[in-house]
Amino acid sequence: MKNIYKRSSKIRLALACAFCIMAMLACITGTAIFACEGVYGSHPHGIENELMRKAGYECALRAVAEYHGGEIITECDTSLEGTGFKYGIIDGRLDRNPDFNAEGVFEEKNFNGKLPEDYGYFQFHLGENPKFYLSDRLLAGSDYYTDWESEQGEDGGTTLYTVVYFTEGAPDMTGGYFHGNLYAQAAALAAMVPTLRVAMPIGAALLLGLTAWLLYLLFCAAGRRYGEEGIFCGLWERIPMDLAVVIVGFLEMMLAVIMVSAADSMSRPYEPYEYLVWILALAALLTFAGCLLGIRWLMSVAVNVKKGKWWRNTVVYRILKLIANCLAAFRSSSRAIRKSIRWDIRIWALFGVITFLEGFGLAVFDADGALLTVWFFEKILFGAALFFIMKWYGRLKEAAVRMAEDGSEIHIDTKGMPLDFEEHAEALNAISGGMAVAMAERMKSERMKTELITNVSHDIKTPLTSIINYVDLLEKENIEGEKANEYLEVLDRQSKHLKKLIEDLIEASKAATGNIKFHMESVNARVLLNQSIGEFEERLLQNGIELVTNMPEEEVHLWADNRYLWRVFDNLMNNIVKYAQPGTRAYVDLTEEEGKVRFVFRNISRNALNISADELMERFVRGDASRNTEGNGLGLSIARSLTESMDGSMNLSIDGDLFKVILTFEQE
Amino acid sequence: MNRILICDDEPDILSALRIYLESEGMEVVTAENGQVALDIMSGEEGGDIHLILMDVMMPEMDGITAMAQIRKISNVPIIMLTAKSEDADKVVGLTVGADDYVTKPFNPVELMARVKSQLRRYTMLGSATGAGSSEDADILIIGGIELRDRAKEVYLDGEPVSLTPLEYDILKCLMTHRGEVLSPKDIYEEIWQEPMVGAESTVAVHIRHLREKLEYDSANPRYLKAVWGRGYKMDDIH
Repeated sequence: MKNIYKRSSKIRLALACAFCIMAMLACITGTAIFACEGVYGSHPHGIENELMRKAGYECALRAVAEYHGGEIITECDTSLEGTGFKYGIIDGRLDRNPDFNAEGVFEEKNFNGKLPEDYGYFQFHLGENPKFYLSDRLLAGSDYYTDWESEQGEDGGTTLYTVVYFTEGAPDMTGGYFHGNLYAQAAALAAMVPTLRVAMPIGAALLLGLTAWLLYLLFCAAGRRYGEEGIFCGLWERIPMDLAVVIVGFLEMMLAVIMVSAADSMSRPYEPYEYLVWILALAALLTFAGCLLGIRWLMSVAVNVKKGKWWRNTVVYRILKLIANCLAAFRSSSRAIRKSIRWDIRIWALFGVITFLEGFGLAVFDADGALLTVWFFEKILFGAALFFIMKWYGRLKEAAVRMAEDGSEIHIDTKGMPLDFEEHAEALNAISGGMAVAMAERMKSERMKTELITNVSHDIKTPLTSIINYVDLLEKENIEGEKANEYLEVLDRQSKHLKKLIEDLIEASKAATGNIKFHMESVNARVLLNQSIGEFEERLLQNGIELVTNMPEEEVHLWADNRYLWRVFDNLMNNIVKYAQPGTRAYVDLTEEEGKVRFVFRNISRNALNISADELMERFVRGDASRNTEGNGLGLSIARSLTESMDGSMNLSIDGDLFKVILTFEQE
Repeated sequence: MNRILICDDEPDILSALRIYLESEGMEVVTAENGQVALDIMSGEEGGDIHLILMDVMMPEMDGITAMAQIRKISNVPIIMLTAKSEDADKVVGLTVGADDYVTKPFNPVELMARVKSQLRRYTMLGSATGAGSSEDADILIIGGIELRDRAKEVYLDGEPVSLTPLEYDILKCLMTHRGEVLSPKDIYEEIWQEPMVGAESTVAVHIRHLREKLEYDSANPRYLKAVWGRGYKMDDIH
């Protein structure tokens, strides 16, 4: 999953994400509208009620007409032809505005209990001379009952006229949805409602899942680059995270404000219809921009979290750190000042300051001086005690510091010390004595070990000389028989192996105990490397190993004994010859940085290396468990001992079959 | 007929050495410790001995003491046989009067070559001549290596060695600058007569080939020495 960025670009993912979020938001909004308000935002029961209400008007009109002994005047207006609506003209008012209740005219003509409760303020007044009023708005599909005209009556009352359109019988759909047939439009919407009510929440949920998945992919891809390892920081990721929250939050808010005002203007019914498309487009664009911005911010958060220690990339952290640094600097400088003064002087100074403050306090508050004498004697006694305690403590301290510094043997003079100090001093003396004995023992045992190995090896060498010589003589005897010659060959090989082993053993023991005198001098690393390549080139090629070297153009010098440095190289190169997988490349790199010269040897091991790097450097440990190859497992141990004796370091690492040795030396 | 005195406390080594030397047509006298060797050298037979192979660690009198005593009465070449491979022991031996040393366990072929080389120098060039630098500019000699420039021939312990022209040039270059450390760059530019670019390990490869032809133990070269990180040099052999 972490390679997702290889399959899809981050930009494509981000766009897909933004689109999904937008669609999801639309769906959620739709669902919310359904749930809360219905399709026509201003009506509490949605489109179905709208249709019902149309039927309700018709009933109401008929009822009113009967009550007044009149009839509904219907007249066909040309402009309504084909819409499926007929209209009746009612001299009166349909409104839900309670303000109209104040008008006496309506109270009189109140139509008690005959109409549904929803239409509590639905009142009529059929005038003597019905007037016609036809609004253009009606055709545009606006609320029909909000168009009215008022007329001041002679009796001081107001007469309102409105036009109500209603269908008779089955609605006439001949005008069709796209020809301004409001009824057809309403019916179509109403037909969709049950589907949309189910589909929109499900769609929203699906889109939520898709969005989450895309976001997850995007977070995986965030900070990665095609074909490269690691997490990369772009410009966005460098912005401190808390600052980014503020910036992004502000921008999102701005977008939201523009969105709201756009939506607001859209909801106003009298805006010209043709702008609606543009307003919708703008709203979509703004939503999209907001989503993209949010996604980019989330990605930068993801990168910062992936990088680890994300809190470091915050303004707050930086400020806190600055403060901490200032405090630390202050502390260390004050500590340095304190350290530069001798410890006993410091304590005396403290004593002096306290004494002065006490004396000052007494002089101010104890004016009659009764306490002053007592205090004065107390101070003299205290000062004397302090003097002696510091003298004894000084001896202990000095001895302990000296012992810690170079492990030298100490002896503290306990004369005149009180009991506790004497105990402490004797304990220190005992520790020092024990340490000296242990050191001497260790030195002796190390020396004996080296001597033992050297002497035993020398004693082995003499019989070995005979063995090698007589094997050689036997070979010269031209012994008949294939088997005999085969055995001789084994004897020859094994005796030489034994010889090499003994030589290496002596060297390893000397190198490990530091029994070698080094003549340190400047060594040209490039020349050394080229010399070793020359020495080993053919043997490597015979074993099918291609050697690749990288070294800087300029000369690099390091500080070492050239003969022993060669032993190290010889051992490491021999290792490559012996243990590298034929048909692979081996690398030797020379680098120089920060005053260090570094050689890196890398090769692919022939045998699986199922032991740790530390174990490999132990004496007599080899990478192959069967131990049937040449070599004795001393090479790396010798190389490391020699390197360390020349103030260098040798690090070994094993990564699968990749075997890597890093030699580091001080640059000259 | 060359007479060789072998001095070692190990009878098996004595007899092995006897077999080798006698197979090369030499006469062998043996001594089991330093004292016996000293007695032989100071006795009547002493004048007939052409070379001594001397072990270092022996009972009664060790090799170093014996050598010091023998040097007082004879300047016969002495080759030290030692199980100690420490530099200090070699230095002591060579200072006391050994002409060469071989460390145990030794390679018989190498030992024979050194014996022959010392014998040749002692009997042919005269015992007074030390390690040979010839007056003649045509012939360059270092230890057992003899380079005859006009004939373009190289001999190792008297045996001709076949070298490629490049190897010959490198050898000659090193022999003329004896005792000096020459960097691979110096050698390259001297022989190829062009700046060394991208051929930095070429010289090392040729040196290795030379070493295989001229050294008995190419891992521990006597003549073609590498100063790692600097270059190569050939020193006079003591």
